[in-house]
Amino acid sequence: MSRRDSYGRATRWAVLAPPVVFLVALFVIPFLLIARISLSHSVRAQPPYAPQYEGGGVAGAWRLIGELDLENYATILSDDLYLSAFLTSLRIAGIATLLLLLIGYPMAYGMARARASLRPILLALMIVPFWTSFLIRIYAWIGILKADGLINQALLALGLIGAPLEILNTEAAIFIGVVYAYLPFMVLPIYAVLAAQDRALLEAAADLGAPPWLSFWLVTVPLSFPGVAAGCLLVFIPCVGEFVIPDLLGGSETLMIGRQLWSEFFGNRDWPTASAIAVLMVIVLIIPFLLLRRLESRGEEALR
Amino acid sequence: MRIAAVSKRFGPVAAVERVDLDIRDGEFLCLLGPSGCGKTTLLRMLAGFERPSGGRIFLDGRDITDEPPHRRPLNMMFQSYALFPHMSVAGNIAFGLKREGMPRAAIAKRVAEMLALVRLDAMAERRPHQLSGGQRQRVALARALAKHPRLLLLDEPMAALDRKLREETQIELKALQARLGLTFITVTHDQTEAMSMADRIAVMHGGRLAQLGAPHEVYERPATLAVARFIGDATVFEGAARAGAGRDDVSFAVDGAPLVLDIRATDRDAALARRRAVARPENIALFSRRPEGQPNLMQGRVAQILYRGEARLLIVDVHGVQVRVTQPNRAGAKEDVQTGSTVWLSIAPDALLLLPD
Repeated sequence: MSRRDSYGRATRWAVLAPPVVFLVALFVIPFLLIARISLSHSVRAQPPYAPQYEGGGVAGAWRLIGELDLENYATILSDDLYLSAFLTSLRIAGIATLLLLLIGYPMAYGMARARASLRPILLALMIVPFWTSFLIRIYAWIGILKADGLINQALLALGLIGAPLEILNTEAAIFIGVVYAYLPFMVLPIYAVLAAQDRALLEAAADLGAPPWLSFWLVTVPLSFPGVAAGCLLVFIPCVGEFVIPDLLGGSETLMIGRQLWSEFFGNRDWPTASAIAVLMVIVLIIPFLLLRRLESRGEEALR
Repeated sequence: MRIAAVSKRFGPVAAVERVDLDIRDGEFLCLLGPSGCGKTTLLRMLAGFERPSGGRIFLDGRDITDEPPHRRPLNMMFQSYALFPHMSVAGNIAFGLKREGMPRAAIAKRVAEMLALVRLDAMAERRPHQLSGGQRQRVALARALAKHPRLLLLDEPMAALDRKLREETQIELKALQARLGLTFITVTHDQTEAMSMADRIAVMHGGRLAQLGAPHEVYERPATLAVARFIGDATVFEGAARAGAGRDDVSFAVDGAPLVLDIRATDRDAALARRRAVARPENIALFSRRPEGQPNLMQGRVAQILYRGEARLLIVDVHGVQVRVTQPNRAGAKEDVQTGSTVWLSIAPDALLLLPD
């Protein structure tokens, strides 16, 4: 008897139903609504887009679909403003992901190699900031980074600088905010992989003549790849669409797509354009996801 | 290799205490002992994974105590095998060769040799997780042998194999060691494994070296009670020794029983101070009727019979002492001893050993 048959069809559906219902109700349906709005036109009305479904059954629905078009996408793709906002977002997310990896990997490594009694404490410290609202923590950075903020006061007091540094409202401030806010999402998956690694593998590498740094490079690093990939995805994807951090810490000249979307939606009340941006963002973000998945499986092939 | 007064303490606990051991070139040495006796710690100190708290380790006259593991000209086979999961079988075997800076062509040749040696030629491109337990064990062996180490350390090499495979592998490993002329040091808690493979067995107990000798010496002439109890089966009589009639004769009065055993001791002066006499179960003769002219005759009642296939183990109650006796099972043998039967036991005076604790 195969494993498939050992559970009833009903049992299987009972197990699968909650996540399926959750995904359909909270992801698929909203996404379809967004997609439908993105194909509409902006109008001064309530709700602010047309065409609307005005009854008429199937024929009415067909008429509605016939009036939808891709005009918003054409506008966005032909407008340098949106394109550069997309590119800026990808660039900032890319650099931030790299910074997070450079800072997060050694942290995860240190945590995984720490004494067993110390590890739960280090993990708790990693999670403690989440007890405060994300928004408040980002606001707090304004106080630290502004012209008469903590950093500048400290540097001035030490006589290291003559005039306050301009950090707030620059791209540097965005990187600081992103690295600060997203660090646990990079550290935790890498930590999980490193902590589970068999220490005997490193002993085997040493026994076969590899000095510690080479064992790290040939054994620890390749085997931590799944954690690195997970961490990078967890950080990169939300970072591209990040709105709060660039809005609060970044300058007006740094146009990120999340901010652009916000201003289309709330500033211009242009729901269709905002929706089209959202749809494009989802498409753009699926690409690195698939790319990493491919790299992951090919990486394993190459290491054979 | 020479191990001189090596100790290892973990905090207040002494895992290994002042062990002296000379390992001969080309021998198969087995570190045997119950778990926690320090045998694995000793092996890990030889490999360089643990630093001794005291004592020195020499290889070919050179002190390697402070050498890191990657500079020691010896290799280890790990109990968990520790195969690199992200590398193929060939990649695993080539790992150590690449570290030596061996040219590619030579590496390929050596890897092929090693694969042939462990009969895994067809598996070169497989990943460890695609192999069976026995195949993985052979990859681990090939990887450890690839660098032609002076000395191969094997940590519980058979622990993960099932019984049948274990026996085959023991024979194979022993043959391989003899053919390659290498020195093997293996750690095991399985006395059968140690006795069938080793040239010499180092029995460890409580962090100390309890006895070092050939398998038959360790079994037939255990140095201490702990060794006798750990290796093979044994009946222990407690009592007091007195000088007997002859020059080597000892007469041993068993505590709490009207029983005096005649013992022939090799070193009578030392034997007289000892309070425990030990007998192996196969050295005790069993009779269903009272025999004539047998030494150390004892009457007892069969308390239990344990059937073991090729033999039976009988536990015979002799004045409260549980005496363990084995009887070979032969086809057609008449079965006249049962649980509850009265039987007579006899032990030759030179089959009784007076041992220190």
